[in-house]
This record gives sequence, structure tokens and C-alpha cells, in this order.
Amino acid sequence: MVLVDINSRRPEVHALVKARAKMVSILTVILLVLLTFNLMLLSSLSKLGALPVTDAAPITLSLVTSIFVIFVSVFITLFYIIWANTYLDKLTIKARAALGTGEQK
Amino acid sequence: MSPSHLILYFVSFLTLIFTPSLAYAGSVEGEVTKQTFNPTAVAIFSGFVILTLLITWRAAKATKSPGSFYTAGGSITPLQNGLAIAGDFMSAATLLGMTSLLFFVGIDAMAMVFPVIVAWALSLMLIAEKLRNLGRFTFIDVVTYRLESRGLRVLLVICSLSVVIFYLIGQMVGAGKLIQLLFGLDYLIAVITVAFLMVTYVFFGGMIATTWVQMTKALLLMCGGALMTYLMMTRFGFSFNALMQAAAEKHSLGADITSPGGWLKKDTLNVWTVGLTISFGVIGLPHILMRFLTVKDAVAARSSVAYATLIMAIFYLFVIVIGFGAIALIWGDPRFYDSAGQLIGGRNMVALNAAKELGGDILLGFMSAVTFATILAVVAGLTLSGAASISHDLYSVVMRKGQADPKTELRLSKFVTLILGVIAVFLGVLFEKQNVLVVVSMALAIAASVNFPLLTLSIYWHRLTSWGAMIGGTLTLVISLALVILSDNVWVKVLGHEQAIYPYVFSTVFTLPLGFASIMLFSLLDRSKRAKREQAAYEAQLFRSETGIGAAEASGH
Repeated sequence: MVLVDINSRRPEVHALVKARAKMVSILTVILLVLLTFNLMLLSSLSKLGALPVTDAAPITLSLVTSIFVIFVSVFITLFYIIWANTYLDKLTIKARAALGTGEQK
Repeated sequence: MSPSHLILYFVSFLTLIFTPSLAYAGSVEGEVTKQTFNPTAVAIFSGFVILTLLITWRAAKATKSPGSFYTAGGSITPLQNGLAIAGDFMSAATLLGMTSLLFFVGIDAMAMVFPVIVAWALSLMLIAEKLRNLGRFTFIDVVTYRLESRGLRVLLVICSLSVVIFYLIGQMVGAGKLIQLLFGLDYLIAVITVAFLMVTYVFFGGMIATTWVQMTKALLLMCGGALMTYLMMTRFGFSFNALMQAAAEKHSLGADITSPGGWLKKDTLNVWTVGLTISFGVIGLPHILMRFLTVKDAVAARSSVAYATLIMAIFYLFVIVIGFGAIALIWGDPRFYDSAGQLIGGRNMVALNAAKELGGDILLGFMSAVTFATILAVVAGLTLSGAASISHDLYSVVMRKGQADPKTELRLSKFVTLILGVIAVFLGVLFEKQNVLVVVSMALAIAASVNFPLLTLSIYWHRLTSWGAMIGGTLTLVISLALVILSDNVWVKVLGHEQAIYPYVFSTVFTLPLGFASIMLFSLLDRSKRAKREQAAYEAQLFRSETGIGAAEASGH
């Protein structure tokens, strides 16, 4: 184990931890809600899941939401990557600079 | 070894396996029906093997240390790693199993589709960067970063090896049957072929060769999936409505193919246990987690998982189109059923029968070769992960207390690779006529109920202690395995009892919360001095997991 002699309560590190925790919590909750809701549509709410969304084809709510969950997961992935690249990485660099290291930007 | 030697080696081996007089005269039970020899499949597969053996030969030059063997020295780029993660994760079950499930049970199969993509998005945000910043060669390095107990590392090695070996059995048996089916080979020869290639890749090329095999396979799989989806959609004027309408008109369930509740005994908890196992089992698979450590830093790990998520999401959309489209194309068509009224080749051959309908023997051959490549990529990743667990986690860290000679460790890794090859053949033959869902259930149950809670709590919960992890982890492991044994797959189908004591497919719906609760409870009860040290070390761990300072030296990249 490599223990680094630091004080992670430094404002720069604290800001980094807080920013990541906030964003990850929000996005994780969204994903877990979608996962839970869609599993419910396939199980305890199967009557709701069987509701047709169009008369033209046997396309039901559970099929649409299942595909929707896949798209939302991809969207959240891309959103997180963009947010982390543009915002989180800057905070990381600041935290590292405050601790006097330029290693691993 | 020169390229010419490698090619000769391979040609000799092909000659051996395709010589009927040398073929093992065994038979395969179940739903597999041996197909006629398909020259397109053999040609494409041979090309894949020659290409990957050449890559292995090149990679062998760079595989001179444990770091290069286990994690390619962190030299893999994010795009390469994203492709390799997708290649490592998407097994033959993804293409064949999922399309088959959609074909037969309709919308309920989605319980095994969307949780995968959700799991990857969660893995990106919760695990990828922190694992790269804290880990060295395996996920066990991360869990034990501040936990001092060597016993815990041994427990994690047992969990990791159990997952690898159970998963490997599932892959080997599936591979044996599939190759028998697709290439007309006998079961034993098929299993030996897979083990031989798997050992060759890992033994000589380590992570670099394994990565390239997985990347090549992922590209082939995506091309095959895209082509099949395109050809499928041309049949229905690129209208998903028309495709679904045609599917409903053909299927015995009619329009109910998109009404949930017909599968898994219409049991709510069964749907949940499947969904949760797929979601959190993915995050606890050691061979997948190991891939996060093959890139240079946390930013690259983040990008890798994003690429992988994107690739897999696209592929799973292809699977949905192929699965439902196959109903419209081949359901009830006598050309695709044998005299007993069974789908030609067995229930899992939906995608390949659809390929034949869409593109004749050439597309069937291509998809068959892709399936074989898929199996190879997955078993290579599993073997490497198993070798790392023994030579790094057990030998180097536990037995040698981190002071192992790198050359000895590398030699041991290669020796373990050979042993795993032998074990894979032995277990592949032993489990030939068993229901492999049992071992796959055990692998996923351990990954979801033990590995995932331990990994998550070690990263995010400062109160975690060695004792809590050991006791809670062991308890969950034992209960997970017991519930699988008491389930229908073992209690009824293997042990012959009339009714299962545990009525669900997986144990996760109970053992995942149990894993978290028991690990947390025993950690809170731990008042030892060691527990205080471990809890106090969390701040330093948090610092490193967030900033990455110290990660480069520790990983040896």
C-alpha cells in the first residue's frame, strides 16, 4: 500500500471530491431509477408494460422504455465524459498543483 | 519463435483437427446438431487465427515483465481498450443467447439486455477511474489497498478464481458444442482447439496479444452485427414497425411477444434477480475489471469504458433487431426446422439460421467464424485473469509479501496459464453433459454478490475493515453458492429432486443486499487496532483515488 502524506481536506481536493460526488450521485440515481422502473414494467407492472404505444405495430411501452434506457445510458455516459473532460480534469489539475505535483495530468 | 514457425505450428494443428481419422468419436447430448463442413467459416476463422498468432508473435517480444504480461505496461490506448473491453465482455451468449431468447420469449428477454448497458454506465462513473488510480494488476489490489489482512486477499483470490473457472467451464462447454455444430468438429477436438489457442495467446503474448485478439473479435462482431441488421432492415423497408408487425404475425405468441410477463414463471422476483445479476455481475467480473488497468491513467480508463459502453449499446441494439427480425424471417419456416420440429442446430442457433436466410452460406460462415473468435477472446481474458490472481495476488503479494522476483513471477504466470489450459480441457470434458447454466450462475452470483459489494465498499466506505470484508464476504459467498445449489438448475436438474428449495434462477436479489449488509455490519462491529488503522488510511486512499498521485509508480507503468 502506498500512503501519501497529504491532507485531503485542502480546499482544492475537497472541491474535486465534492464535484465528482455530486455529479456521480445524480447520474447514478437517474440510472438506478430507470433500471428499477423498467424491471418493474417487465415484472410487477407488466400490465402497464404491455400497453401499446402505436396501433400500427405490436410495440409496447416496455419495449420502448427498454430501448429508451439503452439510449439514456449512452447519453449519460457521453455527458459524464464531456463534463469530466471539461470540468473535473481542471479541478484535478488544480488539486495536484496545490499539492505540488504535476504528475499524471 | 519466428512467424514461419508459428504458421507451420498452426497449419500442423489444423491438419490434425480436420483429419477425420484422428477425430474423437464422442457424442454431444442436448440440442446440438452437427452441421456440414462450411469452408467459408473455416477460411475466415483460419485467417483470424493466423492474424492473431502473428500479433502474438510480435507481442511476445514486448512481454518481458509481470507488468507487461498482466496489463501491457499500461500501453493500450483508450479506443483499443474500449474495443477490447467490448470484445472481452460480449461472449457468444450475447450474440447467440440473447437473439435466441428474444426469438422464443419475446420482450421478457429485455431483462437481460438493458441492465448490461446501465451497468457499464455505472461502472464508468463509480469504478473505472478510481480502480485505475488505486489498482496495479487486478481488482484485488484495489480492495486490499488499505486493508491489511492477507486472509482477505486469499478470500478474494478464491472468489476471483471461482468466477474465472466457473465462467471458463461455461465458455469451454459452449465452445465445444458450438464448434462441433458450426465446423463439424468433434467435441473433444473442439475443446482442445480452443484451449490450445487460448494458452498460445496468453502464454506468449500476455495482455498485449489478448487485447488484440479481443479488439479483432469486437470489430468482426460489430461488422457482422451491422451487416445482419442492415440486411434484416432491407427486408422490411427499414421500418421497425413493419418488422415487429411481421414478427407478431409469425410468432405463436402473436402480438404478445412484446407483452411482458410470460417468461421466468411470471415471477416478479425472478425478473429482478436476473436483472440485478446482469447489472452488478458485470461490475464484479475480474477479467473485465483487469482491463481498466491496461491504460496509462484514470482519464484513459474513463475514455476506455465510454468507448466500450458505446460499442456495446450499438451491438445490443443490433441484437434486438436481429432477435425480433429472426421471428419474422424464420419462425415456422420448414427450411429451418428438422424432422422433429426443432430449430436446426438447436435453440441457440437463431442468429446463425437468420444469417443463412439473409446472406446464404457466406454470411453463415462469416458469423460462425465470428462466434468462434468471440469464444477465443473471452477465454483468453479469463485465463489471463486467473494467471494474475495466482501469480500476482497469491504468490507475489501473499506468499512473497510483495518481494517476489519479477522473472520468477512471470515464469509462474506462464506456468499457471498452461495449467489453466489443461484444467479448461479437463473441466470442459467433465461438464460436457452437464447444465452449464449452473456454473455460469455461480460465477455471476459471486461476481454480483461478493466482488461488487467488496469493491464498491472498499472505494466508497471509510468504515470498511479487513474483518468485516472477510466475514461478510465469506458468509455471502457461502450463501450465494448454497442458493444456487438449492435452485432448480442443481437441485432438480442435477440432483434429481422433484422441486427446487430455492425457486429463482440467481441468488442475487437476496445475496447482493446481504453482501452489503453483512460486510458493513461486521466492519462496524470491528473495534480492533487494525480496524482503526485501516479506517484512518481511507483519507489517503480517497486522495489517491481522486487525484491519481502515486498511481503511476504503484502500477509500474
